Amino acid sequence: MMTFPSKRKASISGNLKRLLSGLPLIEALCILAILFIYLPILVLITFSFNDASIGIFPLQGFTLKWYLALVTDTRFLETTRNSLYVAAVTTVVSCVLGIAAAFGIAYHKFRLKKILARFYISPFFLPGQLLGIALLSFFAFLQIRLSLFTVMLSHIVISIPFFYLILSARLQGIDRSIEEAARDLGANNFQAFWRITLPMIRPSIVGSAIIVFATSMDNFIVSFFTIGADSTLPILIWSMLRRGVSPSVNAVSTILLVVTFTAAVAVNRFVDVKLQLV
Amino acid sequence: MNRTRPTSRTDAKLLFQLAPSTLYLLVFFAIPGFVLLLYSFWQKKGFSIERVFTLKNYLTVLTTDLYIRVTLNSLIIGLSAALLAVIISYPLAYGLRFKLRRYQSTLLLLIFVSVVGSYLARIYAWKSILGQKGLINQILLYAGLVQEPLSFLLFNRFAVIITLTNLFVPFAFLPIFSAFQNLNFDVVQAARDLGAGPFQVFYRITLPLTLPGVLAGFMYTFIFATSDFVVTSLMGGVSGLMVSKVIADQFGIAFNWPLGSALAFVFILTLASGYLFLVGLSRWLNIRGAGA
Repeated sequence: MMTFPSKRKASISGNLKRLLSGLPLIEALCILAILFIYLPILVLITFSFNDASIGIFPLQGFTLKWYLALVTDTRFLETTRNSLYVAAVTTVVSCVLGIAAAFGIAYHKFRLKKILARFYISPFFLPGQLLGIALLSFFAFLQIRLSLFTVMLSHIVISIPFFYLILSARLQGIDRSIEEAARDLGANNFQAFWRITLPMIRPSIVGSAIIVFATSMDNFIVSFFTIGADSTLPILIWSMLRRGVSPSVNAVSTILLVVTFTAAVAVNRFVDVKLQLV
Repeated sequence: MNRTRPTSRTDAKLLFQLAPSTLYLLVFFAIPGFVLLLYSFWQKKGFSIERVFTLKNYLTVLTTDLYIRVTLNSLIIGLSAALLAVIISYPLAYGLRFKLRRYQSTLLLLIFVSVVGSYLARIYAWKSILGQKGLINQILLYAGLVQEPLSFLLFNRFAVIITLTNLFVPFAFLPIFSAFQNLNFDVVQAARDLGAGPFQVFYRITLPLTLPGVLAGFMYTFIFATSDFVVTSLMGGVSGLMVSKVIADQFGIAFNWPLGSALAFVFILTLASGYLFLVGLSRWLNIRGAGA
């Protein structure tokens, strides 16, 4: 790099520029941004250990009673089971459908390919509320009773695009000649897929599955419109919040955050998930 | 190539791969959208819905002052939140790409986890931050900056914008960061070698090359923030009332699905025009960027 010392450099604006580039301004802004993102999360974790029934400052002292209250709360245990069930089925079904679609689009040439590819990702861009009321009208129109099952059907709609997007990005990056080489060496289609292609896309599948599972567990907006009389964890949290019982909500959320975080760290450590969005 | 030549076998395979998800999304995504459209042309009669074609709902939406006001309010709130989210995300993405390389994966993980965890509880936590006895008031009182706790922090437009910004910063961040990751550092280096100062490099190289990411991030945040109904319900008050809350009410307590659907479609059209405007703007900016 070449610089030419000149009189202009010594001007006030030059000094100011040098001062600014010397200050860790960007670093400071980064830390502020992360703090801003995590501010409510830190607050809710703090309140989950706070010995007061409403979320106001100053803090009242340390307690574990909000966590203990959860263990004995049958509604909490039941809705957790419901949420796990919905999230598990959603993840498995949307995984199979989304990945198959990604292969179909990536490995073939045909008319309407572009339109179909757009169709697959479109639910991703539709706000949850609009999808929720559309599905509510649809189920009502067909006189299908709302239940955990309709919630599941709805969650799959938003999860297919996710698997499709991540896997399409991954498939673009892999070298298909390796699979071809395996075939030339006598592997059949299934062997070539199972032993060559699958190991290459596995990290993307695991990463997407964790995100889809966690988003389904946390989904409130779509569930709210499609659940009827049943209940998932976020629906229970909503009803608790409306009655003003917040500390247990904070405890639930803290547990969920810890679980999500651990899962994400584990994936990051054991398989190499690259960030491949859009 | 042999593989891509259409044969009945690859056709069967293609059908096998694409038919399930296509059918699923047709049945549970496209058709529900159409059913919602049908509802917007029907009419509420007492506690049931009369399946007779009418334009009354759309007329009501377009002639009622309240509905137009809350739709505009939604746009103002959504645009503000999207703008703030981009302003916060840009230095963060820049820092993660160029300055904090050592902590990059840890910080990415932190940002990622915040997206998938505790949507409702985070909104509620903002009540504890902005409330009369909230974090901010306690800090201000302690520092002696105010005598009385501020009451204007909650239940208004400001509270909604801050909370929505907080919820959707990661949605603005991810595309921007992705643009930074695709930024070829050689170009930056070349500009430097040719004598460009840090500010010139930023304005003429870095910013134009990351602008598509900024626009994508802005659009995601705008769409999601504008249509969120939970934040406005919990902390919107009067000035923070958004059309999403009004729509949710039509499908809940008011039980006027036809009116709710009409509101939703007018809202979708408004969003779509906003989106097209932004697409047009980005095209225009790209041309400018190429010319400069």
